[in-house]
Amino acid sequence: MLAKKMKKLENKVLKKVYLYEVKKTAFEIAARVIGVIIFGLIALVFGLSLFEIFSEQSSFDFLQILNEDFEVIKKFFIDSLYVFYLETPKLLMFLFVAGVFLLFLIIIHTVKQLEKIKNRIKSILKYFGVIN
Amino acid sequence: MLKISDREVIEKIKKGEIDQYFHIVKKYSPAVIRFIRLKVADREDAEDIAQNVFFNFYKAIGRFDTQRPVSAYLFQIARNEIKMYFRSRKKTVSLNERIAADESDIFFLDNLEILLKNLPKSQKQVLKLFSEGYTYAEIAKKVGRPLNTVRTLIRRARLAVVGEKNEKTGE
Repeated sequence: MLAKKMKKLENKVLKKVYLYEVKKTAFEIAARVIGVIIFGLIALVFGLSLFEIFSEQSSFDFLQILNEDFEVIKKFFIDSLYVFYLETPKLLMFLFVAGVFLLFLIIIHTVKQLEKIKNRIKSILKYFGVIN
Repeated sequence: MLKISDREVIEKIKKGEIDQYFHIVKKYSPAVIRFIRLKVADREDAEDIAQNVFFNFYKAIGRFDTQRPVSAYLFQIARNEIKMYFRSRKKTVSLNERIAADESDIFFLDNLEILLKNLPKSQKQVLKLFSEGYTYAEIAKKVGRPLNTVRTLIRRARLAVVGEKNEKTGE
């Protein structure tokens, strides 16, 4: 009788735990996907805008310095880089860098947690009888 | 069956193997229920509390230090849950009493202040605490008097209040 009651309690606790995990995992995955989409879009939009602005200003011309002799590069590289910096739209650049940084942060964190998330999903599917 | 230590089980759970939690529940549920039953007489309530204990432990498992024994942590959660159970029970009892009260009880509750007015200070104090849901032992501790004195004071106060209520309602 007591053993039967214990089993009932174990089942109830496990059911509660699994339902909690389903919610938690679903929320976690959704948050990650939404994060990747949002920050990916931010990085893409601001990246494209920056590229367009740089193309219009012919800012990429400073890269031509790399075709020159080493001595010329040594002499003028810092100046060219400074000019490029002055031509850069600061706010756009900041938003682009922030978007890329956060996107990578989410991706790295997800890759680190991948094994854990995979195990969790496997356990949940096993519990609900989707896989053996 | 291969036996694994609590530490290994918790490490596995932290890695996402939720099914391993079964080992913890199976191993500790008899002891936890026994512990709860020492303080909570109702079996169903004890089981509900045990459920909460294991569920709360699971939620906190990410922060759990595997060097510490699981049982100590579980019993601490159980203690807190029992406290919360008694606290919520107090509230529920007073609410149900109010809902289930007949007209004369409502008169009594509404006019409690007036009825208490004529009581001696010591009786007034204990009866007020009693009506707020405190147990005799808690009241004794609060007012710094022996338990039997508190019992007597409450009995006398009740009799006095009932007498006065009957006078007012003309019963």
